[in-house]
Amino acid sequence: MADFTAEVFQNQFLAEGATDVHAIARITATNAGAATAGSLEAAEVIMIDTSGSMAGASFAAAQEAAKVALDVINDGTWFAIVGGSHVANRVFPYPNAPSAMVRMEPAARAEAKRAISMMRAGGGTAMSTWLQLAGQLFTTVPRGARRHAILLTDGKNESEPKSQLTSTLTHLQGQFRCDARGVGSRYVVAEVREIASALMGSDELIRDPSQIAASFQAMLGESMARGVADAELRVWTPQGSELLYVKQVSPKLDDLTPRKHVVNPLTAGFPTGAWGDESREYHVAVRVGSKPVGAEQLAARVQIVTNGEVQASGLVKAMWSSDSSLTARINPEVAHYTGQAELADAIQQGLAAKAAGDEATATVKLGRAVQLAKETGNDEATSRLRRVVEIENEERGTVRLKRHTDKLDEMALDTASTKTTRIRK
Amino acid sequence: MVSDPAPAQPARDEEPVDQVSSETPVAVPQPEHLKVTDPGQPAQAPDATAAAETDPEVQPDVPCPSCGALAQPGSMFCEACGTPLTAPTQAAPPQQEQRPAPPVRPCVRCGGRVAPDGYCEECGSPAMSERDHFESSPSATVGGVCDRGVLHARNEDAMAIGIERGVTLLVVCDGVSTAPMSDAASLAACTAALQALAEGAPGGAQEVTSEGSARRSDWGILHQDAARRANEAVLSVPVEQESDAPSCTYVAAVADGQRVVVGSVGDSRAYWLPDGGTGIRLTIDDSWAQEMIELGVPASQVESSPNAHAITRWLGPDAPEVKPRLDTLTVTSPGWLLLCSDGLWNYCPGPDELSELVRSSAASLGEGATATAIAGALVDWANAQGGRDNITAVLARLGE
Repeated sequence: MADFTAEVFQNQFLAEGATDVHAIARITATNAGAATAGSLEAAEVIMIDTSGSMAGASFAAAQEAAKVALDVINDGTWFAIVGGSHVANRVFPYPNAPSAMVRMEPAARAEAKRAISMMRAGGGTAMSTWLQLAGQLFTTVPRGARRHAILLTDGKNESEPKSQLTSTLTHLQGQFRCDARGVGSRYVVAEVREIASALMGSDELIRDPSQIAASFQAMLGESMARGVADAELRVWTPQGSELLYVKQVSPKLDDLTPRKHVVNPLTAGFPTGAWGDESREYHVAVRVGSKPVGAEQLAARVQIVTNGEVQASGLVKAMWSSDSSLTARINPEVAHYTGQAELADAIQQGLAAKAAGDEATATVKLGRAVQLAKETGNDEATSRLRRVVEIENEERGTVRLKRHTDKLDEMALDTASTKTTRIRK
Repeated sequence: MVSDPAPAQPARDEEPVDQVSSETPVAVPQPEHLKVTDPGQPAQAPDATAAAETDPEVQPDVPCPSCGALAQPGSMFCEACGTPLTAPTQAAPPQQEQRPAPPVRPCVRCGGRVAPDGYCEECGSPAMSERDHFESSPSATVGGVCDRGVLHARNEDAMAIGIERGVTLLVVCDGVSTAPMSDAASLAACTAALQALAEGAPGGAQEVTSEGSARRSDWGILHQDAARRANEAVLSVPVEQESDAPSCTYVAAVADGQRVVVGSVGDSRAYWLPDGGTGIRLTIDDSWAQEMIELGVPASQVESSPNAHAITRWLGPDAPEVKPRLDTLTVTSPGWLLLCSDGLWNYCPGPDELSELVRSSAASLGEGATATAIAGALVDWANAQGGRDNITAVLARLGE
């Protein structure tokens, strides 16, 4: 049985008249690893882009990767393979098979590999159809099973309006986790990020088709090690207060606020999907009514809930004080992740400006990103930024845009912008 | 810090709430030795330990094994369904385990349920600690309630009540919130004073044996001893730094037959509120306001001054002197002796108004209301007026 703990980092002291309380809540799961996961019902769907653009090396590599993935999936796990273009096709179990998903066993594995070999590339790209099919397949497996999907694409979602993908994702939220991968330089980072963010998964760039198989193996390995099928983050706030936002800030940035649902009038719930042995950190911001100096109030209870039961709870407090040495203190965790969030924004806005030809804005934003990466000790971000800009002064954030940059470097910088570093002890 | 002249800034939440003055102020003498009891609130975190009221003495009711209705311990049959209630046998030993959790006092701010984490489930206010609100009921006719109030983060009022071989002893102290640790100081002072006064009761170490007016003055001497020992208790409160001077006011009363002897330092008060007649305020405040009124400054102007609640005498390391003012009373008709902190009398300073308030509170509670229940009603009333300060009300029924 998994164990959860909750820790809260904040400066609870507020100056007179102050109303906004910020805190970082760290939720840690232990005993949630592979051993626990082994006894869990699980289902995996692999979605491979079969649009015309894939034809060639990418498609062959994707087929090979899907076959490798089948070897990683444990016997007994429900699985299905989906081929996606402007429509979605169930590749395995075969379209005429009686059950939508089957349990993995050696014969099924061999037959599925045969089915993958027979896939052909052609047509457009409408990812909402792939995700809808995956959602339907998952409805056929037992309740409580861990549901995980992989989506691999190499291109733009060009065969449907943008709103179609967004509304599909809203509809599917909380139903399964989806890790999304883009291969090569022709896909759109923001689209892949939107899918991963909405479906609580990771997004990554695969530079070369030869790396697809390793990426699939890693994703499935992580999925198989998640012993908690589903957990919900709940945030209670007092009567008369306002929950400003809830953001995951570690291991990667993800604004959960739009995914809020009402548990009861004072409690908001946010799906967090499956958990292995890991820590995740959340930035919670609450606006409470100001109280007289000396008063104390609970500003939030941050809880992790599985199967309707609270597993751990952290308390976010507010104490009004006239002592400015207490109220002016900035909590290091809150400051660190506020800086990392600003870093992600600066990178994304800078790259968008660059793509739009607005070099002035791009220079300012990416310069600010260099400065923030330095301040928050995010060396990985600094080295990715170096591939896109020439750094003149790291502290002051003065940079020049590089004349010739590799599109893949820009995409890698964009994709990884949401990855945060932990605070240095 | 205490011997500084009165601060220029008004005491923010200590303005008199019952009067609004529009008179033009006249120049008033600057006070020399003052302690403002509450110019704001301390920055320290309140010690908000959750307090569950438990009474280990209470026996649980026995649930009926058939219908679950609760029956009093020792009942033979269930009152609801008539099932025989046999003594627990081997068949039902786990019943002991299923005792309901002790009731937790509801949230003082909104009445919501207080969660096990110590905060209200509705408004997030911390649970009241035992120090924030406590009651004492030595008998049905002697009791008191001490409460944090609405605005203050902690309760720096304290009280101690006892009946020692027929002698009723009441003590109320109000900690000075500008000085740290005054909550500890006021409680220590009350406990020490009660112990000292109890020594004057029959069989005590300093038993008062004289008769007539000498008996009264002997109690007066004991009052001085009690105030001295209360002051020593305040001095022994541990402080973080030298300059900290935990301080409190002090009022104590001894009701020995018809004789009532009151000792006071500061602005906590004693009143005699006879059932039929006019109420009497027994104590004179050691306050700047009192001094000004004695000098002839109009009361309305004094009460609207920032110094209105500054006290001129107190218990504590920097106290000018700890000799209590003594006041006496001979009880000739039934009535209530009331000791209270300014958290109550600020809203209702006149003896007649207080008389009426006690009478109406007792009437609303009905025949046979205990002294503690009436004191609780007085505290609730002060909280309803805003509860701007800590509130203590102690009542003793005399002259019956």
